[in-house]
Amino acid sequence: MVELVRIQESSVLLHSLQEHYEILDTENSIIEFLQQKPALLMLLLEAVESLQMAFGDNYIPQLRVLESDDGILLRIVVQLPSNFSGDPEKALHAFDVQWWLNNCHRSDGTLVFDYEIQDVV
Amino acid sequence: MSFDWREFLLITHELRNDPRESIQRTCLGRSYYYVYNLGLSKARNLSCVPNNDSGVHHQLWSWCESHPDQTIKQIRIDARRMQAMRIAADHKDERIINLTREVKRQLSRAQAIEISIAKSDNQTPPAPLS
Repeated sequence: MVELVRIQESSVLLHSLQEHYEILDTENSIIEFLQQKPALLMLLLEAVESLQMAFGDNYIPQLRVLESDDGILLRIVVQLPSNFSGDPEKALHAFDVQWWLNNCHRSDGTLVFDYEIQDVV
Repeated sequence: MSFDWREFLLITHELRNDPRESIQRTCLGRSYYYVYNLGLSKARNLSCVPNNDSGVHHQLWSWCESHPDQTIKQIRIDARRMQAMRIAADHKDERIINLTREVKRQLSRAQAIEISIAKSDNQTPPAPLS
């Protein structure tokens, strides 16, 4: 029974995340990570609006677990096209000032928000 | 004489245009370690003493993000971005998009952090690398 509840919770969790993020790692690794740190899910969902305000709402952030000898990070990257019309550094700075600086203390040191510019094809 | 961690920044700057992927990845890692040691020194000056047994990076940046000073929080935010690139460079064999651009961004972030730390210590920031 406990196992069934756990699976259902994981499914809801994954569905919420997939509405707003593209998950690049195996779903299990993300779910396992967030089960250990459930407050991060709320933080990730809250971040969506501020990311859209900063970068626009055309870009779905990618989410992946980065594991190393230094520990684990959850990296969220907004993938921007090479012809992105704005200044991505200014957009990232705006995201920091408007939301992230006031909320990063809730991430237990693990969330990283950034952007990448895709290659010119 | 103790090693000056800024040498990592200088060598990264020197090698930033070398097209070899191994060099570019090394630049991503070394520039992060410059910032890590800079941050660790700053934290120790503010009486943060990480437990050396494990996870010093995590302890350091978690301490920064819980600090009331917005400058120290911003240092954490940028340093964690640099650390993520360092992990990608040193632990993942998948291709890093726009690697040369990422090295330059890593350099820019490292210099922004050293300026922030110098200013918060009421010191003159190092001259920008040209």
